[in-house]
Amino acid sequence: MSRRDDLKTLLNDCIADHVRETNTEIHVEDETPLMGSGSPLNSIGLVIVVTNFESQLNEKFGAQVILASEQAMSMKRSPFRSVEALSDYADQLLAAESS
Amino acid sequence: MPLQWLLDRFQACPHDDAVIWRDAVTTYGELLRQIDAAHEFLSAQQVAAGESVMLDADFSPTAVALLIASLQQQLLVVPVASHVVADRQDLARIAECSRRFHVSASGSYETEHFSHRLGHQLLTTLRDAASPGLVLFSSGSTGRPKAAVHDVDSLVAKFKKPRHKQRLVTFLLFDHIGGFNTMMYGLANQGCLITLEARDPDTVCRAIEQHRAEVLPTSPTFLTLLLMSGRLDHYDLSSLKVINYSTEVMPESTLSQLNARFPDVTFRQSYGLSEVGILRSQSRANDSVWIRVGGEDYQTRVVDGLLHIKARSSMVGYLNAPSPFDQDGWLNTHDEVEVDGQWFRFRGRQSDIINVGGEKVYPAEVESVLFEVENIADATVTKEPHPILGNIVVALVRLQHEEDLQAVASRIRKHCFSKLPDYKVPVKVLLDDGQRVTERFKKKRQD
Repeated sequence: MSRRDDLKTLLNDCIADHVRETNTEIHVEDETPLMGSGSPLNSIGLVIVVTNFESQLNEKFGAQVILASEQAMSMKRSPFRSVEALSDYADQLLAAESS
Repeated sequence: MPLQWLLDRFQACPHDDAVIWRDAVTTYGELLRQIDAAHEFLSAQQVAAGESVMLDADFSPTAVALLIASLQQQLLVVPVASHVVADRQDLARIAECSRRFHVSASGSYETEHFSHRLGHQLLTTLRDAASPGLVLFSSGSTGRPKAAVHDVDSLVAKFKKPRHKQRLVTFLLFDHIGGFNTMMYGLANQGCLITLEARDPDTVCRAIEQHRAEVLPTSPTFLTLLLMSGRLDHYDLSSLKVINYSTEVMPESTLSQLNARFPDVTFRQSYGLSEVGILRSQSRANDSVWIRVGGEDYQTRVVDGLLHIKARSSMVGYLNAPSPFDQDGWLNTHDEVEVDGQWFRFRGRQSDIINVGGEKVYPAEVESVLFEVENIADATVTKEPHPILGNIVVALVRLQHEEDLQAVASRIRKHCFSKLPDYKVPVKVLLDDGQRVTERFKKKRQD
């Protein structure tokens, strides 16, 4: 499994944790938006999922990347636009950190 | 001579217990003799009325005697609790002390001289009016400590009215407005001061059991520690009638556990500040965090959700900061309150409130819910800046026994989501290995 796939699994696990913690039912797919009107998460949900994802991926890959940053917020194509996009963004940050 | 009324009361009960220090009893008759000795000491030292003197001590009978004698001789007294870490040279400079009297544990007096001379207008005014003064340094949770100057005549006026004779634990410190209040209340009513060598749960419980204490004035943080310590069942605390808690917001979960553990004890929240003294207060019910404050010496009002107080016993001012009073004598306490008729509920210091996406989070409210979660020994809620929400709520927890942090965090959030609106739920949960309790047993939310 590629690192990108690993990251997507990790992010989906974080979303599943959040679902358990809030006792809600959310169904997400690769294209499900994490932010905005089509997102099943509210802003706190998004922040909890992203913070958890960040902390777990840093632990797993021995990294120090920051996902929720001013830079991420101001990108033309938001990394929070989908599960897939956030996994890709994390992968890019990890690649940049190791280069 | 100032405070003669107090000594008259001592003379009326010479055989009663006045102070218990290191398990030894000093009666009121003995305390009077020690006050005479303290007067002789001050004369021998050639201390002049109106001098500012530091009193570096704890509630030993010799320290209590020296404090009373000093006030009778119209000195400006600057108490500093012996075990408090503070730069005494700096405090002496701010309070323009001519000397420091250190009262050793064995009861002897030692003197250190300073070259400071009285110059601050607040101090010279007291000296010129021949009024004894008290300078109390605020604990200074942010920045340097502020020196609050009190005119002792107005500070102690309320103690002339006789109230209950009780055996009280001097939990609050010698240099704290609450400690001064406990001492004056106890002595003015011919009660007994039960002093503590340390302020850990075992020492406090042992003192209550051994000396049949009736009143424990303390802080919510200590009461939480006491419950978590598991030491309560090792002592006979049946003499306790009143637990008075002050200075911070009481977690409701702690209060309900305390009520279950002490069904016959009256729980009373009091409210006080170095700047205005301790307000008389009444709790709505034993398990209620709503209180009524005030009395004939105090006026209160709420402006923009913040409590303002005007008090007869207010300090005359700070030595090293601008006056916090407006032109009519009102003090903005910066404590947020909810109001229900004449009842107040304290939500927290304005500076502690966390703004999450425009919503207010009161740390004490979240901490109260965290205490309900299994395996949590202590919890402190603080904040972290966040680009999406402005701030996020961060919970620093200590565990009763080791456990995977991810599992703890998940359990915490699950419980919080069921009890609190989403924005109050801690986004981050971190293990806290730092000391979160100040030496005054207040919760420390900022490093």
